[in-house]
Amino acid sequence: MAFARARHVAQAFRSICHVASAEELKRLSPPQAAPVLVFFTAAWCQPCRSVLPHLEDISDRFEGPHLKLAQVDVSDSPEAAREFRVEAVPYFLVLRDGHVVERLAGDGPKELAEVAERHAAAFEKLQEESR
Amino acid sequence: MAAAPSPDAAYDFDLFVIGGGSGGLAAAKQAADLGAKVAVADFVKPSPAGTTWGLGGTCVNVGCIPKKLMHISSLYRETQGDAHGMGWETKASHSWSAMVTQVDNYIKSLNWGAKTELRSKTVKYYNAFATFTGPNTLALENSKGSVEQVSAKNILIACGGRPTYGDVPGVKECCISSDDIFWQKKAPGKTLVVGASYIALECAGFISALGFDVTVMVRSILLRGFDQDISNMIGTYMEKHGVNFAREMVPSKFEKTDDGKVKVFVKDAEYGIFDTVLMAIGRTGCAGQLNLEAAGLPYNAKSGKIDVNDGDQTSVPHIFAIGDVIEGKPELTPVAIQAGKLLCRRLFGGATKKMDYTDVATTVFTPLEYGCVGYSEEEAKQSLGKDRVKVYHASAQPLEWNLNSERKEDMGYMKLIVDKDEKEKVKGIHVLGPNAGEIIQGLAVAIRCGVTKEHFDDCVGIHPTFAESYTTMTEEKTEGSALPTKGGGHSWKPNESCA
Repeated sequence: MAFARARHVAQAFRSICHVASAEELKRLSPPQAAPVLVFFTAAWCQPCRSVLPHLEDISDRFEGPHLKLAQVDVSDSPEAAREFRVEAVPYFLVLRDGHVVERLAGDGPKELAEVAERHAAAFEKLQEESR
Repeated sequence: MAAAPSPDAAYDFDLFVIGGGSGGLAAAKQAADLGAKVAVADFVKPSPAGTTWGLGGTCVNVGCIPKKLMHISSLYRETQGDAHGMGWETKASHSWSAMVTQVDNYIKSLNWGAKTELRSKTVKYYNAFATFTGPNTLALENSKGSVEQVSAKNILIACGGRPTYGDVPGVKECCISSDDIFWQKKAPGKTLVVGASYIALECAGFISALGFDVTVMVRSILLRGFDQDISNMIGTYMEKHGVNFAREMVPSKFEKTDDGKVKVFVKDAEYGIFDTVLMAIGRTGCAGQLNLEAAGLPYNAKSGKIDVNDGDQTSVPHIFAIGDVIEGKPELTPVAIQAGKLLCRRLFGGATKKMDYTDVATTVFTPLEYGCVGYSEEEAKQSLGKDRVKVYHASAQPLEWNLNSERKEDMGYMKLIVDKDEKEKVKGIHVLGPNAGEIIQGLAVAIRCGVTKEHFDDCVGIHPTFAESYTTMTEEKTEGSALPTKGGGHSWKPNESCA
C-alpha cells in the first residue's frame, strides 16, 4: 500500500497526454502498437473533471508498453470529435491500429479500469505469443 | 406559401436562417426534419464591455438560462431562513465567481450540444454575420473578416435583439448590460441598476439577495405593461428585503473614477459611486444591422424590429421573421420556438396552422415571482370596458413562511380577472408568490380551454399548497378597498390608477 502511494506521488506530475487532432490520435496508434485509451473531454464539462483522477490512477496502474492514454478536448478539436462520432462528453474509446475497437460512454471508474486492464493484458499476451 | 422540399438548383439552400437562437435553431431543425436543405448563420458581436458567447442565442447565453439559475441561487438565502425555523442549523456563504463559473460551464455545454445537434440534423452552420446583398443572397462574414456569398430560396430572420444603451454620456464606457452580468467572474459589488423592466428587477433581485448593495433607478413606473398592483407589490417586497429604489430619476452622465468605479450623475449633480452600473432600459431588435435595404425590406428603425403578417411573413414574400426581432409580439423563447416550428411545417410540410400569439403565459423571476396569463387588470378594463370586468383576489402565504421570523409578514397575492358578460369567463390570471411559473403553466392551459370562475370554484384545492387559494376565491376587488389581509396583518393599498 505504501509502495503504491509512493509510486503515485512520484508520478503525480505525469498527466494524460493531450491530443489536438484526429491525425495526431491515429499517429499514436500505428499498426502493431499498444492500444490507446482515448478520453474525450471539455473544459466546461464538470463530470469530465470528476473522472480525471480515476484516469490518472488508471495511467499509474496500466500505462506503459502495453497501453497508452490520451485526451482530446472536443471544444478545441471539434473535427476530432466529429470524426470519432463523439456527441457527448465524457466519452472513451480504445484504438488499435488506428481503428476503434471499443466505445464507452458514461461508464464508472471500475468499468474503465476493467477495460484498460483487459486491453493491456491482451496486448501483452499477443507480444509474448509472437516471440 | 408552401415551398418545394427538394433543393432548388438555382439556390444554395431551401431555407437560410439568420440567427442561431431559440427561434432560429428550432425552425432550422424542423425544416431539416422535413427534408429541406437548411443553413444557420449565428454570430455574436461583442458587447461594448467585450462579452461574447457561443451558439444558442439570448436565452441560452445571456437570458433565461443564466438568469433563472442565478435567481434560484439567490433564493437559497431566504430558504436558509425558512430552514432555521424548522430545525436546521446552517451557515452558508456564497461565491459569485464559483456560481458564474458553474453556470457558464453549463451554458458552454449547451453551446456544444446545439452545434452537435445541427450537425446530426445536417443543418449547415456558419459562425458568421449574415447581411443581405440582394433579395435572395447573403454575405456571411466570419471573425477573420473573410466573406462567403450564399443564396437561398427562403430566408428566415431570427436575429433577435440586444440591450439598448441609450445615449447618456459615458454609458458605453462605464456601464454593463445583461449581456455582461452573467459572464462577469468578478463580483458586482455595489451596484446600480438603471431601468424598471423585468430584466432590471430580476437582476437587481438576485444581485441583492446574493449579498450586494443594490439600487434601482426608475424613471416612472415598474414593469410597464404588467399588472400594476402586482408590479408595485414586487417593488415593495424588494424594498423590504434590502433593495434601494431611486424613484423618478434618470442618469445624466457616467464617469469612470481612477480606481475603476463609476460615478453616476443625476441632473448633472453627483448621485453616487458604484462598482457596477447595469443598464436595463430595454432591448432593440437587430434588424438595422442586416442591410435589409438590399432586399427591399423595410424595418422600424427605432425598435430595430420588422413587421410581419399572421403567417410570420414580411412584406417580401420569401422572407420571414420570428422571435424578438418581430414587432408587437411577446419576446419569449417558447413563442419564438413555436412560431419557428409552425412556420417550417407550413413551408415544407404542407401544414396550415399559424402561430397563436394570444394568451401566452409568462413569469417574471423577481425575488417574489410573478406569473400571469391573459389580460392584466388595466388591459381587461381597456378592451372589455370597466363594467364588464370583475376581479377576484386573495392573499396567501406558503405554510413554511409562518415559521420564518424574517418573512412571516410577507404575503403572496393572486388575481382572477373575469368577464361578467360571458358567465365569468376568466380573462386573466395573476399570481405573485414562489414557483409562480409552475403554478401559472397549468392555468395557462385552462385559459385556452375557456375556464370560468365556476370551474375554479368547483375544483377542489390541494392542501397545503399556495396555489389552492385559487379554488376558494370569494373576495372581490373593488375600487378603494384594501387588499385582502391574512387576518390582522398589514395591508397594501391597491394602485389608485386602476380605478
